[in-house]
Amino acid sequence: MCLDGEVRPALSSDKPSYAQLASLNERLRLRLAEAESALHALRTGKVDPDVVSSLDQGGRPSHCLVARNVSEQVLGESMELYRSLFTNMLKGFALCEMHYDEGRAADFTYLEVNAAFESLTGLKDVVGKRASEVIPGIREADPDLFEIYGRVARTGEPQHFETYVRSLDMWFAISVYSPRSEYFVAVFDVITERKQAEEALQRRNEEILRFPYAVSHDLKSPLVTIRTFLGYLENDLKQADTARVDTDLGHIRCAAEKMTHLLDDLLRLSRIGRKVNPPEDMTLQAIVREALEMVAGQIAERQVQIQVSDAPVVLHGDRMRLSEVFQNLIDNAIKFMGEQAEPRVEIGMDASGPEIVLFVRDNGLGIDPRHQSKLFGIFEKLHPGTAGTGMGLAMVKRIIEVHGGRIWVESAGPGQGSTFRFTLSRLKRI
Amino acid sequence: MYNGTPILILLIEDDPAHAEIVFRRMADRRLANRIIHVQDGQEGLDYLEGKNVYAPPAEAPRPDLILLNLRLPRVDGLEVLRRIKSNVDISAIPVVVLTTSEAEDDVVKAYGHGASSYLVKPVDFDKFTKLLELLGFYLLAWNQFPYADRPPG
Repeated sequence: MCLDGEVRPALSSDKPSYAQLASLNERLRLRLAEAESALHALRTGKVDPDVVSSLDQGGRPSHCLVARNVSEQVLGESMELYRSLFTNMLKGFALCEMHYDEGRAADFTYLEVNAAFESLTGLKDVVGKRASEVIPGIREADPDLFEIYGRVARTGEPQHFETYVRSLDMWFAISVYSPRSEYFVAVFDVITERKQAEEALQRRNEEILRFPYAVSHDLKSPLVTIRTFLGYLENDLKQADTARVDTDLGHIRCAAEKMTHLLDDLLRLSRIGRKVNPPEDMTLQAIVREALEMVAGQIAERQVQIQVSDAPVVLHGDRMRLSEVFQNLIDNAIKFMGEQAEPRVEIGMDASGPEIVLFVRDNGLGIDPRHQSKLFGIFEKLHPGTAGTGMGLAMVKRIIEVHGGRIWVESAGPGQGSTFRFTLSRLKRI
Repeated sequence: MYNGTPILILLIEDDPAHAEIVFRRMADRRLANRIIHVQDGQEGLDYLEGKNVYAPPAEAPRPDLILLNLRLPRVDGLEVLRRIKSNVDISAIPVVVLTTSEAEDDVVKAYGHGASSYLVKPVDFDKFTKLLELLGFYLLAWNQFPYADRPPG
């Protein structure tokens, strides 16, 4: 607080008169009153209009006005600091007013949201609007969320939680607190990617845990063969039964080869995770052409008609692996044509949905809906009598997953052909 | 009592090597007169139900015993078992599951669907031989079969 020089009495060496003293006293008293008001104003953040309007003669602002300026300045800077925090913070912020209907949380109005709120949720111009307007159906799809908000707004007890909001199809980590009764503030992050990664990891873990069982089971069968026929071999040699010896050796050899194939495929499957080749761009037509060359024999033998779409789409990834994907799918399609008199395989792209989807479609045996989910499992073979170790599709799935995509099959049922569809994270139309 | 007449076995097994093992043991010792071998679940059912290639006038005498593997092409072993046991013409035929799977799940389900016995193929040659011998002996000398009044295959 500043005091102008007038307050300090110019005490002269002469004794001041009573009148001078009284006048000085009166001025001091006024100044004191103003100072107290100013202090009060500063303390309470309010400004007493009467005090403010009292300007000094000579137009100089009284100390109270200066005090107010200072307090306003401090307040302004402080507000500026919080405003910049509010605008720039990475987490979403929403200040809302809760509305209750017969004591239950019914809806809420967005009073204030920050920039991150918009960029994280994609919801714009929400201020002043109700949640039920901004996100239609949220009340029905996510009643738990309303419960929590309502409870926090009423009890004042903050909550932190992770939840999937169905109406937005996103995962959130939310902190909610209540600044005032029936109001709440939600500060949040979108954690969809983290949740998806967690789920994928969980699934991989389960697969890994099931792995030793699957391996031991499928290796056991040829092992039974080998050991049993070794026993027979011993007897047959003793009895010099050459015909039988030949058969015995045949079975043993066959079983040993089967085990070798199984182990080879297992090894390849485990290696797929580590991309060895540098990724490149390739058109759908180019990569399919390469794959067709590798399965040309099977195509000719079964006289399959192949149709490749000329859709302009570019794949990005490990060329050899992606070629293997097509080789496998085409080979499978040919293998399971059954009695089809005009076998046909069609390869193309479907851009009608939100993502670009590639497909390999055949008019062969089709797949029983009950078996469709097992199709991509390691060692699952729908037709174990046929050649192969049953790992082709597991490998295809792995390759596609490594390329950030997913694969699934559609088949109306036995005798109605099948369509294998898959996405890749880097697919674009040219 | 079956008067020691060798029995007719239907073997539903997709692995030809394993089928041969059963042949050698059972047929060699004349424990079974005939073993009919089919390689997948659908063919097994066709035989038992007299359908498709096994429809009359084709001959498909009803077996005295069914040896059933679980991992079969076209129709899975457990499904075959279920169908057999729900068909009144053939439900009384004892079904012995003979498989590499030791999974408890499979054992429980097999019995649940009406299997008479569940045998796990031993990896050890001697043990497997012994098992089939015992099985043959048990079937031939001890086990009573239904349909005894009807002529065997």
